[in-house]
Amino acid sequence: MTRTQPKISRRAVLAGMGASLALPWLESVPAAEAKSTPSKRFACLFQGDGISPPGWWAKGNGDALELGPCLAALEPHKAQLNVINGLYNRNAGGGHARCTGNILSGVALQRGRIIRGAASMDQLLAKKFEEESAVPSLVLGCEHPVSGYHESQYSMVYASHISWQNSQSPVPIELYPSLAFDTLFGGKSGKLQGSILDHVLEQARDLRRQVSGADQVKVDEYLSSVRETEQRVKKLQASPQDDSAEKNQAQRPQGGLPGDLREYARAMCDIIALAFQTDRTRVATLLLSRDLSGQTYPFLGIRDDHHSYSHSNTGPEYQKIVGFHVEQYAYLVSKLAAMQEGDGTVLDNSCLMFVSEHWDAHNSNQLPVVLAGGLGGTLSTGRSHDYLKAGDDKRKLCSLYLSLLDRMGLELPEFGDAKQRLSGI
Amino acid sequence: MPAFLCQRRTELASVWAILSLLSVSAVAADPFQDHVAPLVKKFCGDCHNAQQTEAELNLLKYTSSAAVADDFRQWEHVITFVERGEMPPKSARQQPSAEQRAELLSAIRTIFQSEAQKVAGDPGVVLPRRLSNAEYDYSIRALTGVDIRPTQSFPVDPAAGEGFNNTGEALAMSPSLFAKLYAAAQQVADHALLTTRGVEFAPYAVATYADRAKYCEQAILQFYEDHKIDYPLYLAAAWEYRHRESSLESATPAQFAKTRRLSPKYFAALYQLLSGDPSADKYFLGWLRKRWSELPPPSGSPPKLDGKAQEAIARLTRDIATVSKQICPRETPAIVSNAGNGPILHLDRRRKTAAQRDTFDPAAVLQAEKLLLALQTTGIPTPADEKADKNKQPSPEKPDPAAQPNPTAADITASGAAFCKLFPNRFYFVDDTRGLSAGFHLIEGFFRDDQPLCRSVLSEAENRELNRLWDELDYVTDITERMLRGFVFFERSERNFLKHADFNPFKEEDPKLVLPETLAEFERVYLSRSNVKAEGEELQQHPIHTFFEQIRHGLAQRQARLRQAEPTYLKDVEAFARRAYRRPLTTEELADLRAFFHRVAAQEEQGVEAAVRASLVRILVSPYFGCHITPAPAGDTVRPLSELDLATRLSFFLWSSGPDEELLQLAEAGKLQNEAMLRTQVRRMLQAPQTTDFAREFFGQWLGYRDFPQQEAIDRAIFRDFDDPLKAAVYEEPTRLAAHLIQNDLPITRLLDADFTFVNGRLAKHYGLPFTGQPDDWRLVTGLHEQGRGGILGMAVFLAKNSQPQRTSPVKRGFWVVHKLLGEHIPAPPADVVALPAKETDTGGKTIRELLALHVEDEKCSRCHVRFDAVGLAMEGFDAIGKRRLKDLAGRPVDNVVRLPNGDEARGVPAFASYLASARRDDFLHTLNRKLLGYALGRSLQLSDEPLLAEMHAVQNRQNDRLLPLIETIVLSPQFRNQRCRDFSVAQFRQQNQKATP
Repeated sequence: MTRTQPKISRRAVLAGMGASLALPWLESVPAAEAKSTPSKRFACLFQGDGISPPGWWAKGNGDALELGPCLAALEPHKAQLNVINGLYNRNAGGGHARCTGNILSGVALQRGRIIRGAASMDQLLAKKFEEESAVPSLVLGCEHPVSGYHESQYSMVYASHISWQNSQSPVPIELYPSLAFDTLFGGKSGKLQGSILDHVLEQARDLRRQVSGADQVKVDEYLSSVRETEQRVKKLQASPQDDSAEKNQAQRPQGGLPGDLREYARAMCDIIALAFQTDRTRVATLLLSRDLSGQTYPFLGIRDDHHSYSHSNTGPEYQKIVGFHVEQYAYLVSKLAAMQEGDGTVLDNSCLMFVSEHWDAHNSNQLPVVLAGGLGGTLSTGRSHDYLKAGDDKRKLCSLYLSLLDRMGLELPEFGDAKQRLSGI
Repeated sequence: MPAFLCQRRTELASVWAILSLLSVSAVAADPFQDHVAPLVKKFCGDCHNAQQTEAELNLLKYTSSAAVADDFRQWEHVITFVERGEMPPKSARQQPSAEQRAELLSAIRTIFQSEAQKVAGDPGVVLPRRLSNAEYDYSIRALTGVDIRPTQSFPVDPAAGEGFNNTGEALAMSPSLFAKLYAAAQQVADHALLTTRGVEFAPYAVATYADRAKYCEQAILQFYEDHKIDYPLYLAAAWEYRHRESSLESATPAQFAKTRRLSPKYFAALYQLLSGDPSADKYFLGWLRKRWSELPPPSGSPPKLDGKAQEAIARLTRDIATVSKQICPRETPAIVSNAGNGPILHLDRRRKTAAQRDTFDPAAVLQAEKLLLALQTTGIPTPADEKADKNKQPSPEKPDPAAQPNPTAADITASGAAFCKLFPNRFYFVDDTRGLSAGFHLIEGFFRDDQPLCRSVLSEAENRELNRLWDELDYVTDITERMLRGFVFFERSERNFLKHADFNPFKEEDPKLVLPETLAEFERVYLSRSNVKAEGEELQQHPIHTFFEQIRHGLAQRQARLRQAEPTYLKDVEAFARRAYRRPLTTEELADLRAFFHRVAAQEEQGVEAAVRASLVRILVSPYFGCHITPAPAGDTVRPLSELDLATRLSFFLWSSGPDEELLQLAEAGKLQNEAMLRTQVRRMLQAPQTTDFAREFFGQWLGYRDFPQQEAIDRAIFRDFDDPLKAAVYEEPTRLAAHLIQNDLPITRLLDADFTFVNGRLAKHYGLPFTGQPDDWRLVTGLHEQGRGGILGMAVFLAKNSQPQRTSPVKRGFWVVHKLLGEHIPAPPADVVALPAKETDTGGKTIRELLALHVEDEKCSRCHVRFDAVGLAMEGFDAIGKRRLKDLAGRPVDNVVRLPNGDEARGVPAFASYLASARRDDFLHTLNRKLLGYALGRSLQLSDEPLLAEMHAVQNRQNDRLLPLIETIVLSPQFRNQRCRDFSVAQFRQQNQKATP
């Protein structure tokens, strides 16, 4: 009788793990193994219904880089920026819904009852990093997803989700800042998991008492597997990296949904910043407002909702709305810029993207894109670009994604509608 | 005679009967000291000693009969080699005489026999273990009713024992695997759907709203599809009923419809309408009945719908549709793309449309005479009529027929109403792109529009079912609240109607929006801003009020359903736990589970749904689900397994998953440890579909095809026919055949030589067999022998698995037959083997047979290869993907001749398989028996199992090689039904055994 044990490396086993694995499996990389190069992170902040074109421009490079009024909030960080105009998403088309569900995947969406798109680039990154980070990705939103149908017969599910785990299903959006925090630090699922694992351990211990001899060895094998898993969960809950548990717990946002959008957006940005700082996750998306948004901005002194104003997007109200979104983005940029990491900052090792599905009211002939951060020195910053006249093959949004994915170590032959990297980035 | 065809050593088990006749005491007191030890020392000890362990075997270390018995596997090999004359080797210093060989063999067998008898029926050590991947997947399927297969990404299970992965030796647990199991549990929990009836499982994850909605919507769409009315089908059936044979004379229309799987209700009404007196109605019914009576009668008996009648029915169908279109109310568009339309008015329009689909449009009265005239003269309305029809306006209100001055109008109306009831403009409405979605811009909502179907087609039970499906959709999607919130958003943002300051208190995101007082106030403001002054009855009828009433009703209904359903969720979770643990939960466990559920449900951020999912995860990661652990009872011998443990053991043996409700109940009632009941259950279980799982797991592992999906390495550049559908089909074929043999109680030896097999469209094409079914159907086909196939030797999966990526491999194929099927022990090849060429075209001009002959030149290789190389040639008529061929890839004619021991030649698979099934039947069955018993017990076999193996073979001889009696024998055996006690001692057991069998 030979006992055959397959030689399976731990890495191979982990590589086979499904994306659904919510167990915070690997604890943070211990200090002893501190990496020589910090990890790279990617976040995307989305604003629905387009920007206000007259105020959205940038020209020049380096010290000579000038920003339009809508981008004013980014002035302090312009050395870290790439303002990219003129890109487009070929499979988007105008109108609503059909240009948002694919903003991060670039595929044509299916009309009607059947939901079909493709996995988004942030989720491909999440998959790539799932072994190395506690939480594969954060998918956050400040506005409720809707369903129903747009008059173009595209499901409004597309309008509410930019992150897609596969062709049929969006990643459920976390709307609660407190729960997003718990996901990150093992609170939400962690507490539940802790309790479940405790229970399993208890059962295994009971069983162990009932068996003897060789049987005990087998039960021990089970017991130690559960115990080790529990230890990891506990460790994860207790202390991320060098921060004390108390310090992090103190940052936990209040339960429930914030009533004021300003607080709401800041809370979500704080979580992304914390996640990146602690390297809990390297991928995040935040839907500040959905496509066909119903957000209201009483604090800006305007009464109607987001989408209504977007139809007159050159007006002062919509400029204010756009300005507000850019401020949130600038807030996150400044937070990361203030976080020291190695010789630089977390921002230096990240790429924060700001994007909307429209340019001019309901037209997606081109898209507003801003990148902040140097992605570990692989991305030069302090630049403005305009690809509008470069020719359609040379101004694809998905080409930009290929270029970014390359820099994050995920080299794909093609993505969405693009086979070529974006030149000049 | 080639060495490979030497009859296998006389099987220990088959001489058992003879040996048993000898009184043990008649043999020398100690056969080991008297016979074995001296001979072994003399003839084997030169090479197999402590210093020089040739073949890793030291034969001098054994000092007693008991020691030989303990290591009986090794000594079985000794028997094999000595009996064949392979040992001592030709080069040995001295050879034993024939008598000495016989003396040694007889003594070893005597030791085996006497030692085995003493401990016969020992349950052995069955280690605790986790579920294998396959068992996990099948168990999940049994628990949820859907095939989720969460272990697809798990590492492949290793095998141990008798070569199966269902043993404790094989199945280890590790932290990484536990993490995977945890993830798998979460994946399963994501399939849980909380319905009005309790916890159900969807075939895909339903953790998001869109997936939940899809699941419920799909169920309704499927129901509609299953109950749609196809006029030609019904008219043809009515025609056949009218001309039915005398034997069917007394059948009512409803009874007749049932035999045709048509709606009895609709068919009966239709037949009544058609067969009425044509002269009794001058209008639509009169016309219809006349046309009906004019249909050509059948030309012969029994009445067969011929081309003429079929054509006439097609014409009638067309005309009915035309008339229906003209006299039923016109449909308003169900989807309004213009955002300016108010949802309330839109809903009102749809409600009216839905209510009138099967009514007569009073406006049609005016054109009725003209239409009827056209029908009666030309039979088909002229294009001018079509045009006139387009100009027809739907009348907003139904005029009272009684108020019509013309009495004809009343008659026309009555005739039209009867017609429209059965021929509505639609039976139900499903939008092509939006499905059941209500179709008001951006607002999520569903609109039910199926009244003709419910009124005229569905039975009461079917109506209840459809209502339930709609209830489920509303409940699962919480659609009323969604619709209300969407409505507020839309009316404010898109229609600007709510932008008036009066509406400021009503916000899309406000949790209080759904409160009755908020809604009442909302309605009041809405009515007032819409300048509606109506009161009393008029208000009750007003669309705005109707809308708010509908919202209130929906919210209240959802609340009521929730209150009703919530307690069932915990109950379902408890029932799930019982099935998962394969036993009732203890009182403490139950209390603990409930406490956990309530604790999670009570958390604001979690809730009931999260509680259900978390509880399911908790159950699925429990060792009581994920492991087989049967704590040993106190004592020093053996005890019967508990009823529940026996149920588990039985169901994992025959189904590779946990006990079903019947087994669990029997066990709980203490009725399973009973011979008659065990037999009954085995029979029942083998007739269940899960027998396919048994076939896949047992035969798949024994015959070595279970890992084909993962291990297949065919070079598709060379074998271009090989694609994924073919791969799936060849993998499934042997499982289908084996399950068929079991369930039809056919000899299991048919596996070797059956003239039939199962194929789907793809596999039939591959085998060059005619196929008439749908491509995905599996059909039993016969006449394989004519095609050069038959039995497993001709199955593509084995031919492919035992080939090289670019060519066939007679070596691998032969080895597979001799080792896997006939159970011959063949040691692993030495490290320095010479590889055969990778391609059939690279043989340097030699034939395959010549190449194989090279093996035999080298003594080191030939010792084994002569036993199987030539066997593989029998299968040379099939290429590396099992396609039949006359020439190999180098263009040589195939050489598939094998010389048999009697001097005959077997050409190809059927002849060789027939030899295997007859001359080598015993070898095949002995192998099967060892494998099956090892699989059933989940451990390696031991000497104490030999008497049972002998009994199994005796059963086979009596029972025509059928598997069922064999499985019964195993299930009834003491090793299957008992377990060792905590302080098991062989001595005690031996003593007890001897008392029991004096």
